[in-house]
Amino acid sequence: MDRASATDEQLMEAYVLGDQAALRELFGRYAPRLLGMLRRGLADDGAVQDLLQHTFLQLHRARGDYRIGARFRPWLFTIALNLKREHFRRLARRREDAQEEFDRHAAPGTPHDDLARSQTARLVRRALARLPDSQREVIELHWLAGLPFPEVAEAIGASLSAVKVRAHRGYAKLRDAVTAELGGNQDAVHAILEGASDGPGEPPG
Amino acid sequence: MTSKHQASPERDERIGPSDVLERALPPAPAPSVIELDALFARVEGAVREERGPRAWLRSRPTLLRWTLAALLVLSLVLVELLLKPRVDFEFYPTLRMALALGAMGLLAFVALGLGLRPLHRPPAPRWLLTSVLLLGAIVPFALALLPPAHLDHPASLAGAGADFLPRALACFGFGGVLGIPVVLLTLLLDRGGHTTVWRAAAAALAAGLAANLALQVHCAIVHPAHLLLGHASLAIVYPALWAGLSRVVTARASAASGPWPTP
Repeated sequence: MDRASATDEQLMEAYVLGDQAALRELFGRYAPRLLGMLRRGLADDGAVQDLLQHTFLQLHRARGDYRIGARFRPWLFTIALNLKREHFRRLARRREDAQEEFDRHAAPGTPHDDLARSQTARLVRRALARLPDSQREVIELHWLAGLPFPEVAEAIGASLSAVKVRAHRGYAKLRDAVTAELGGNQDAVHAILEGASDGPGEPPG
Repeated sequence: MTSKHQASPERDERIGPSDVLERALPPAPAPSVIELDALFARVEGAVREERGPRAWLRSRPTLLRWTLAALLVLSLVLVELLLKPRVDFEFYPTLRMALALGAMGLLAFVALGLGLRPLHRPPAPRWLLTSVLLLGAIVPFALALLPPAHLDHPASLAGAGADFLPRALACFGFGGVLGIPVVLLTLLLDRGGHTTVWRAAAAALAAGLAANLALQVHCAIVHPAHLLLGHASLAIVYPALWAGLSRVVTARASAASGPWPTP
């Protein structure tokens, strides 16, 4: 099998049948995307790497459950999302608010631009952490992971319309929360962001 | 577009982060090849460590894992039925026995399904977990509080008066031991990805109900107080104890190794 041109589903089927190299190909395709999603949502890079490792370890353990023909991407991202959810539950049980995790891992002593960027990023992460679980997970998968809404619906086990409603409400709350954190001053929002910006962000996939 | 159309999220294809959000939290830089290779080496190492009977068991398909656990529960009942059945079977109403075994058996199997639920599926709704845990406790208690099934066999009249506590504790201890294999097997079958208190409680509830099922076909005493303390209480003690233990274990593990314990 030419792994580079194989579909994700073909690679996963090959892995289930014992082709170890297929895992490397899947890792190469999805680790950057998973890292991107996890890093945008978490400031602790150690936790990000652990979550990534656990995601693929769980993929390995659950390979016997993979249905031939099932879509691979939502399958993988459901695992990552469940592990991330459990990470935050563990943090909560250690009497830490999720936002403290963000604050504690902010890099000290960075140059002003980096500091401004990290401050605004921290604002968004904090606002994201405060969303209801149902909205936050939809936004993480749609915005941070770049999954289209049908795959988000499959990953979280909800209908497409429910997912869109949650996304609509979640994005609105996120926007309002970030604005509120900056004192409701739209000019300040744009001034900070234009000063911290490296250029336009990528649209969600 | 009308405002009504714009306000409808189902029809709005432009649901997404605003420019403000995109600029505030831009995409993370792509990882380097070196970083990816190092991360994959960790994954490969973890996969290589997946050896031995436990790794084999937990990598079985979920339906097979559930079946193994369900067969163990059934085996406990069958062993008691074959080796040490209750001596008052001929007097015990068949329909009532079927109701007790059916209700507790069904709850045990559902609890096993919740406890072994795989990570590639969305988590079970909290209301379902709560309902199963509550019913798992309520059903054995409700069955115990029914009027005695009969009063026709001398063995069924034991467990009262001075005999109450020793008999109840004996059944509690016996049932407690019977549930241990179920707990151990669910631990072996668990893939360890998430060890929430709820999942631990669901798996332990299955053990408590398995104990109740085995006691139902073994113990002839029909005294409600005996059934409450010696049998039904296992359906509460097991999940409470195991949920508490799992919380302590994960708290200590995360304190030792950070928020995420090693797999």
